[in-house]
Amino acid sequence: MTSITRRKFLGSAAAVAGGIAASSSLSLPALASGGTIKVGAVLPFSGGLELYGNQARLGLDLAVSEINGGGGILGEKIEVLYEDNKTDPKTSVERATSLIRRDEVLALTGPITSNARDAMAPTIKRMKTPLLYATNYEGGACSREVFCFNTVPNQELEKLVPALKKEAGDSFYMFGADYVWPQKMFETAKSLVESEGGTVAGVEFTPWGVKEFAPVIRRIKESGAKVLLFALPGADGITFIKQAEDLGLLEDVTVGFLGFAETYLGAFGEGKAQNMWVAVPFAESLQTPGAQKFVQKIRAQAGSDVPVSHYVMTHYNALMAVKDALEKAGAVDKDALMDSMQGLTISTPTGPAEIGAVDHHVTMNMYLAKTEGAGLSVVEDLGSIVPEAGCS
Amino acid sequence: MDKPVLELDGISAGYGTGLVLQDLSLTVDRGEVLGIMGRNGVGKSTLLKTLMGLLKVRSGRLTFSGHDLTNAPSYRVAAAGVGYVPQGREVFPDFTIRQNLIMGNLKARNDDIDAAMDLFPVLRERARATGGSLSGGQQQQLAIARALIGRPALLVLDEPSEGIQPSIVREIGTTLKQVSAEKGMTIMLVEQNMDMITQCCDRVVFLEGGRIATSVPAAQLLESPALLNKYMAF
Amino acid sequence: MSSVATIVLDASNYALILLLIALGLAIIFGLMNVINLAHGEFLMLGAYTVLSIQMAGGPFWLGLIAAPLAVGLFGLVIEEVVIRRVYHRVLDTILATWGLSLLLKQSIVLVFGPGSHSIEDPISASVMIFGAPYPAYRLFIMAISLLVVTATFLFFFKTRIGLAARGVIANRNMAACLGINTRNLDRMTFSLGAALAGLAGAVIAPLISLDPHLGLGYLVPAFLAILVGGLGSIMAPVVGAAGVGVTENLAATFLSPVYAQLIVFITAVLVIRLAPGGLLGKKRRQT
Ligand SMILES: Nc1ncnc2c1ncn2[C@@H]1O[C@H](COP(=O)(O)OP(=O)(O)O)[C@@H](O)[C@H]1O
Ligand SMILES: [Mg+2]
Repeated sequence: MTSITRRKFLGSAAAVAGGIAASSSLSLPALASGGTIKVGAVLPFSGGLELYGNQARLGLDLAVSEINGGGGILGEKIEVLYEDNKTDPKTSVERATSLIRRDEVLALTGPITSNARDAMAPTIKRMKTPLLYATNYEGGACSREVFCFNTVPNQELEKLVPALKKEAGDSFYMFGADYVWPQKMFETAKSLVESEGGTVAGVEFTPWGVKEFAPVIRRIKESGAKVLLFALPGADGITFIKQAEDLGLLEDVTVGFLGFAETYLGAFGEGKAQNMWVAVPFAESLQTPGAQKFVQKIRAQAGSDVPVSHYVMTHYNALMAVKDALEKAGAVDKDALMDSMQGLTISTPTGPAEIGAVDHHVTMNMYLAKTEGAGLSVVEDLGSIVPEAGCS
Repeated sequence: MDKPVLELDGISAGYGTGLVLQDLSLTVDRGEVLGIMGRNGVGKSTLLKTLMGLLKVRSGRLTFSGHDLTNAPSYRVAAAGVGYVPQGREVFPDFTIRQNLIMGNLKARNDDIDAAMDLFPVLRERARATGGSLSGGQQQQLAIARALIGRPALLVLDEPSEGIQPSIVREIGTTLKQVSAEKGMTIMLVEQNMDMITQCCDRVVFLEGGRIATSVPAAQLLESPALLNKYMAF
Repeated sequence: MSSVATIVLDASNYALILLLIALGLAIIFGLMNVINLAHGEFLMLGAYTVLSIQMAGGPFWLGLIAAPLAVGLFGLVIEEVVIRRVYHRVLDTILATWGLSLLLKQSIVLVFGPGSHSIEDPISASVMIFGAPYPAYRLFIMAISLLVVTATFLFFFKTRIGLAARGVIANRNMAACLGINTRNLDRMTFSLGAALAGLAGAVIAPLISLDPHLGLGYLVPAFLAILVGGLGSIMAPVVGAAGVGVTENLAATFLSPVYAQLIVFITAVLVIRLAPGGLLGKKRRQT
């Protein structure tokens, strides 16, 4: 109780302070010597994945107020222009184009889904504008312009698979949505399971929007698998877990929940969906000073009850990387940013992270955790894991 | 003298943008059996559909028993006391005879249904048959009984003799006359069949050019073949 | 492979859920000729009614009663304010109900947020059936669906209002000319269809993730069920839902969910192609 009260108090105090900072920063650009560095954020704020858009925004907003509060970048203020891509690839391209052309942004961040990112890729390339992508994905987005601040399959799976095998048993079943991310995830998982001497009892996919999972749940149950690697994001995933609980599957298997974020936690209901294992670059329950301070700052800004998932941190990291890179380059332009970001090491709430000089993917700390009570409890600090970005 | 039960005052109506009825006026007295005649396609059915609220009144006024029913929805026209037997009968093919009769009056009690079947005994014989399995004549009788079960003050019929055996036509004519006499019901009968017209009607109007061209007592009709030639010949 | 009993139960369970959802849709389409694209959102409203009551500390069962009432009332208002103005214009009804569905989704996002919510299991016990445990709540759903469907059929086939309603389906103009108040019947129909959706939403709420997009996942198979069963008949959705539900469920049981969806779509297209009016369809009267 007391901790909530204190958190609330801190929250409102910081909100007031933040408000003052925000209102003064509004009037500052006119006085400042330089202009404003604009970063365009193409994110879903409607159309289905707004949850992730909102999480990303929390991190970006915090980065903006910290950068500007600390005097900006090379004397210039930074500003993020948010555009709603409606969870739609075509809209993403339109928004990206207008941000680059009309608003002359220095860089873009977002989107969430791979198909939106792939749709934007040609525009990014043509307009030679850096894209700071901060969502976990299947790998393979490799170009001069693209920088990826979240995980690729091996970072989640490399330690998760052995941990699950040790915890639950040798036999793995894999079930996910029928698109590229789960497919790549399971490809990586399969070779990991086999190299660890485990067996794959089945791999199965489902189209989006299915509401009745009883047949699949029964099949997994009968396969005798001990571990279920699960890659069905969003509402469908929650529906599956609920039904798996009701039909007794969660008594038989231990779930490795891929692509997990704290945003799921409220959705299962009290005391449900326990002991699901995840590997994440950040967890709000992480007890390191850096992580706790980060969670505190986000909640001071956005309210004491917001979940703070890794999406918040990776988007925060992405914008902080822009500051470090530009300051290292000593110049504000797109090429300077891209050149200077390669091989850059930034400090993040979970410790130092290195942006790959060639593949532009981030080596960072990972954590093994599991759902417990109403939250995620960290089991083990996995140390930093190098991404296998899939760039050939 | 009573006020007329039905008054059509300068009615125009039709389909799409074209008008079939143009500035048509007609009054029908209470208890009267009125025949309506005219060539095919002249607008007799259109007149009845307009009365029933199935077609929009473009201009003019329609008054029934003192209520203004201009552009009233069909169910209000029916509720005001107009019973309608359309051309082609339109019985509900999947409903039994009994169900078809109930459609004519959702509050009908068993004796109402019995009374309706008394008018046309064949309906009782086949009470469990569906409307679609009846012969044309039986369907026509059903459609009339269905209209009558709602106890209308005005019964309008659209070519009830069409495609029906002469013996049944005569039976229908007799029943109509009897009902009109017993209940003082007003009837508007659109017909081409001269026998039926002369058997039932007090007065006949001829439709031509979108309005009522002539009105004559039915008795005069037989003596004036010129009228028939003028308004009925092709 | 699961026991035959389990497979049968799972398939019937899904088919009965679909039937409950398709029923309201079919009634509104059959009687009013309105393709209600907001049906999925009516479902959502029912589920969120249960959620609201849960958040206020009320029991699930109260939500189960409140949902059809609330959504039925909402349907009544929508009929009066929107639907009534666009009858007889098929394209306009589609646009209007589609707009309504977007509006409802957005409103739910504003009030409850875009994220998922969860309804606690009202019955968490399992019942042993042929030696295998089966969740009692799923049995309850099947019972509710059977009960509601039976009640709906008794209403349409054993009451005079039901007869009038079927008369309106068969020949709207003639029914009106016989004094049947089609205006009131339209109100009642839309409201009843909405209430059924509300009930269905409440019933399935504990099985799924509650989010503003939950309607779509059910609406598509429910529409398929109606197309397969045939339009313009109240019996049709039963056949359609059984067909679609059982096919999808069995295909998912013996093959995989991806194939299941594919097979259902292909079968549906074939049925619609070979029997354009649907399995039980009749040619609709042009009025
Ligand atoms: N549904 C319709 N749509 C368009 N025109 C029609 C329709 N029904 C009848 N008509 C036209 O209206 C005119 C009058 O038809 P109608 O009233 O049925 O004549 P009748 O006197 O033979 O009953 C005819 O020219 C006919 O072609
Ligand atoms: Mg005619």
